[in-house]
Amino acid sequence: MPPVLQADRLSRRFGQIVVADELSFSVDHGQCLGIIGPNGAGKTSVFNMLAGVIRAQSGHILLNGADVTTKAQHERTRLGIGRTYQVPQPFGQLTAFENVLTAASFGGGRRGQDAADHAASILDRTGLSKRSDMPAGALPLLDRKRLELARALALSPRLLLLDEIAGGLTEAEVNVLVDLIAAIKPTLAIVWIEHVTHAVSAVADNVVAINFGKKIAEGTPAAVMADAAVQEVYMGAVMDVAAVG
Amino acid sequence: MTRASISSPKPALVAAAAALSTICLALAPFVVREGDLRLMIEIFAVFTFAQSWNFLAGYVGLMSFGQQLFIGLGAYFVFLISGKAGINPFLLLPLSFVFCAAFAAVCAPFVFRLRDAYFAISIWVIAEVVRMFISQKDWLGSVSGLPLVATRGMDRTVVANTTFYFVAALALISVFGLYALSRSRMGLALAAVRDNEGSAAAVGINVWWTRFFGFVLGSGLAGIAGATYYMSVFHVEPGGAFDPNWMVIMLFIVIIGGVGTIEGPIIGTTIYFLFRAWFAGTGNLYLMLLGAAAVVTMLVAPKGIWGVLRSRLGFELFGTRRLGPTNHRSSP
Repeated sequence: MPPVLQADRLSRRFGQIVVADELSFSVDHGQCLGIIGPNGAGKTSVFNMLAGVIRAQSGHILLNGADVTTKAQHERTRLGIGRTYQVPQPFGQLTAFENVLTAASFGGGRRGQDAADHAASILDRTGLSKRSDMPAGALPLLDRKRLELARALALSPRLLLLDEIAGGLTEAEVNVLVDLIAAIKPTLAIVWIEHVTHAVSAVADNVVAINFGKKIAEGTPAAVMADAAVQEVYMGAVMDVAAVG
Repeated sequence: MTRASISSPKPALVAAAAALSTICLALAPFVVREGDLRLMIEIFAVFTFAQSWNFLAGYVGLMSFGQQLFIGLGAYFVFLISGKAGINPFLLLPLSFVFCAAFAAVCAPFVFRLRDAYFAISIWVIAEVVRMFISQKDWLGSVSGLPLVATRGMDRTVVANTTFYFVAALALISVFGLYALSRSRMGLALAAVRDNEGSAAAVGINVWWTRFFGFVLGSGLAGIAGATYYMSVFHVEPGGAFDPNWMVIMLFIVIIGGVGTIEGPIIGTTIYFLFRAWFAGTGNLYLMLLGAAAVVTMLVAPKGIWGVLRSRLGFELFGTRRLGPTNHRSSP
């Protein structure tokens, strides 16, 4: 069985700025890979390459062994890649339910009542049932973050890409999301980019640390956080070592 | 298992309204005087123009300032082909939809590269180019335009009634067809693309083709409505058919009534024709009053009259919301 996601020597630069430099990593079913790095390290660009928003200039992306490097974003979604946005991007005029229904109907490939029931059960799981008929643009931040997750889950993805889903939330809110993600982890593969390192450490099996688009460390969360190179680039940033391990 | 409803509570009411209005319009030519019938043709045509722009701006998310392009193209298509080939122009009306949709399809790869204001103006530019092209070609009637020769041998009443039935059908389609479309799977895709194209791609929607479908449909609708309207006045010339004033009227109706709603342009069209009747003698002052009314509406009620009424009354006739698992039972 090939891994769910295999990134093979991905490179991308914007002019002089290198956002990915021969990056390789892989994730298996039931596993969570954390990608950490300081601001501007290239985390979101890596994500956009995986999701298909930008193209890799060299290297390959394999989803369940099939090459998706040149596939458009909506095609990758239909092949099983679901993503959330760091800054929530809901369909603002649609309700929370309609937002999730959209994902169930298109990427999720469901029709009619099946799509509606699936969307409803996802809203239940993500704690959004009470808000289901509210316009998504009017939801508070935690609920918009939940909606990002709900919409991605409604795709029934094989690979879930989480982009700083814990950012901007209170400690208690982070814990709610971490529990939710831990609960769904056995059913798919996850790549989670996060600035809030203790949140990702609680769920991730492996962590890759990047800086200027280059991999500087890889291993278990505890090992990566203790790595001298990682400590170095995080100087000045708050490093929550106590929460690791 | 949580059950959810994908229907809003009032489809039966809408179906009843559709049946009733269809019957009324079918009987109209038998009870309405000829002059009033002509006014009704104009009202329904202008309403369909407005609905076509409302569809593009409020449902597809494409703000165009050149919708008059398709009004003129549709009219010229029918006038030219019926005149040269001697084909019954009523048979050509459905084809004017196809012609304008095809024209939009050819433009799409170019204009879709432009965004927002640039897109809006690009269609206007195309409209001006087409207007000037027609103005310089004798075989297209140049600046003095083309008369509708193909209906000269026909019975006047038959022509008037058939034109009325066409335009009434267009008005019905632009209400109930839009209602059906926005509740469909395609409607969901259009709404998603309108609200956030990045997220739309992320949930598996092909953004380009969805937008293309909307653009082609909205352009075709304006085209067939334009063709039908000019058949009721028997003459088309480039200055009038491609007049940016059409765009001003559409903007007025949709903004006053409420963009992105089905009810809004119905209210907007009513207000527009009332304004026109009351201030017809005031010349240019009437255009300034239209503009002032639109500005005031934008400032006081950005969602238009229907937007305000809807939130005040908590009621909408054409509810297109798909209700989720919790509320669908308690809704009236």
